[in-house]
Amino acid sequence: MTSINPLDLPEILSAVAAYLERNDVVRCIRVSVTWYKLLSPILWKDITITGTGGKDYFIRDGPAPDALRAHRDLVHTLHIDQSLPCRYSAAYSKLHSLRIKSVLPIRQRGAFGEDLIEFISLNPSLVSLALAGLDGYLDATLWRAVSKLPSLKTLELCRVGMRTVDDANAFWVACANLDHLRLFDAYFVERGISVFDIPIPDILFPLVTKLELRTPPRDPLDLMRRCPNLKELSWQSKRHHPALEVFAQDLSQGAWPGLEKLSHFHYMPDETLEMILKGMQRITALDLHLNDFGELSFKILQRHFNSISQLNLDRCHYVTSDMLRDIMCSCPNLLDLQAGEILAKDVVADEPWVCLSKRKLSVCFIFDNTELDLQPMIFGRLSKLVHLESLGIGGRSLLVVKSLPFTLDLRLESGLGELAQLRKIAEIDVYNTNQWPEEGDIQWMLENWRQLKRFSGMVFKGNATQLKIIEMLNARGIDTGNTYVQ
Amino acid sequence: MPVTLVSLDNENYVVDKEVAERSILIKNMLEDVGETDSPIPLPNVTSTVLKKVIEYCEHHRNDPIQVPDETDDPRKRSNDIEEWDMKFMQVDQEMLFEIILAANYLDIKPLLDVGCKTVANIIKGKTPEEIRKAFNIVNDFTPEEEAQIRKENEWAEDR
Repeated sequence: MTSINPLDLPEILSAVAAYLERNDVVRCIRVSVTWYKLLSPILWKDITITGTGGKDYFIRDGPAPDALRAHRDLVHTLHIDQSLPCRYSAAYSKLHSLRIKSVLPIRQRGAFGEDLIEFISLNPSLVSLALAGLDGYLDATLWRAVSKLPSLKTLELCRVGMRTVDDANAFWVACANLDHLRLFDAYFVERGISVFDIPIPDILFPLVTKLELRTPPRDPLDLMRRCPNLKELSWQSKRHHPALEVFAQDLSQGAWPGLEKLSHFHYMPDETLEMILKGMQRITALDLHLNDFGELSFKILQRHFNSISQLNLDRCHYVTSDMLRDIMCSCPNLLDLQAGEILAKDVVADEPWVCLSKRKLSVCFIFDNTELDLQPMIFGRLSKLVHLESLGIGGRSLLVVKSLPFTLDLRLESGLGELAQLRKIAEIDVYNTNQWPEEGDIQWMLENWRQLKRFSGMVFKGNATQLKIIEMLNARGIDTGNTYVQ
Repeated sequence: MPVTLVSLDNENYVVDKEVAERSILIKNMLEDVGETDSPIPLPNVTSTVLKKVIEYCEHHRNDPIQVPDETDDPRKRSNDIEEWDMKFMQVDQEMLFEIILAANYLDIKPLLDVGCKTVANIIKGKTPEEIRKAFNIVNDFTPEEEAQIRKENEWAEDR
């Protein structure tokens, strides 16, 4: 007696399509005119084209240029990797994000010419532009086209060359209205120096709130000082950067009052880190993996226990079990914690954990061989984290790698069953731990963790039980990517 | 307090308020009128479907209310249907469609989700012709259009 087919209603068909993979959506598109109209926007929304690189740039994955052009008004994001952007140049009315990666210009090692400029100019709706690994150079005319994009907020450059001072100046002008700038190596092609090695013209970047720098040049501070409203800074360098101390000083004198998220990679001494953290008025996110975060920095971090929501202290070798215990018992808003090892006996001896809305936890629980009866108690603690999406119990430090100690044992007989309420678990990482789950344990995970997409880091010695386990996980579409044979 | 629901074909169903309020539509109606004994007419739902929907709501009466999650992965999984729901959804296709329409009208998000997942599972792995057969859909493309669409979307198919 139904007169309406619910699958002809846009909202219902879209809801169904959200559960389909791309190759099912593409077959649905061929079902009927209505389905074609309703589902094409889903298929064409995010397009990635991967070419073969080399001389010919054959398309390895992605639509043909004429098909893409025919659906250009449906495209929101377009990634072109190792293919020629000029083939796809068109006005995409809804294009939000364009990413072009690993391409040579037509005249090899020459300038990216008219075609790329035309491509950019045709798409004033662009909010985000990323150019990476371009082997030619980008000249002033291109940057002038970029500065004319009225909505552009994010610019990401990675291994991108310029040729003259004029090119670099035009580039900085193009950055004037951005709020997110990522500079992972921009250099002068013929001189082999960074764009930072010549003075930045007299421009301020008051709108930039997020700045990401990799291999910062001799003086990244000049650029940073021009961004007084920074909220988020990512600074990656291979060794201790001489400007870090000056940065800390500036910070303590109030240079970036809004800075609350900091990511630094890697090896910064505890003293310097302490100075930097001291200068931050509020801290919400810190990614300090591989830094020498120690007692001094920890004392400063304690002042921010209430506000911090993301903390990565992975492979910071001076982080102690006591510190981690303190963090877990005192940071009510810490949604994402990645750190090293914590002694199981410290966990059970102390107060309950305070942040029960945690989304991501990566901590290695270490047991003495006489403490294995503590396993159920650790599972008990974990069972309260019902919003957890990602759980890592792997060991990262050299200590752990050398002599795999007893860590959390993901088996029902040790107390795994306590974690039945962790229904959002999508990711489990057991890297560098000894895990010997049986089929029954895996069956339990499949039944209780319906969102599980990834189970990685398991050492795989190829016995029959393990083969069966991998098979069970893979049959449910769960990625066991890092599982390796020993 | 019990609530009386009236189906399209004038059947009355008395259910607990907590059960009826699994439907956001009914929940909002009850909030608007306040305490009332008057029956709630549901003119879009027949008694066979309403019975089925009530059965679902009874079973899930104590579930936590679903909050929309913005961080949700846009690609969702359809293989996580609970066992009870799976059995509940083992109905003929007409009933499946009726349940989906009713869940949509009554605004019962978890039921609509289960319905959509069930449809997605039917679609998975099928050719366009098999999908048409499964859902009684008429192929209204011209042969030329069909060839054209096939060609321009070829890239998205698994090779």
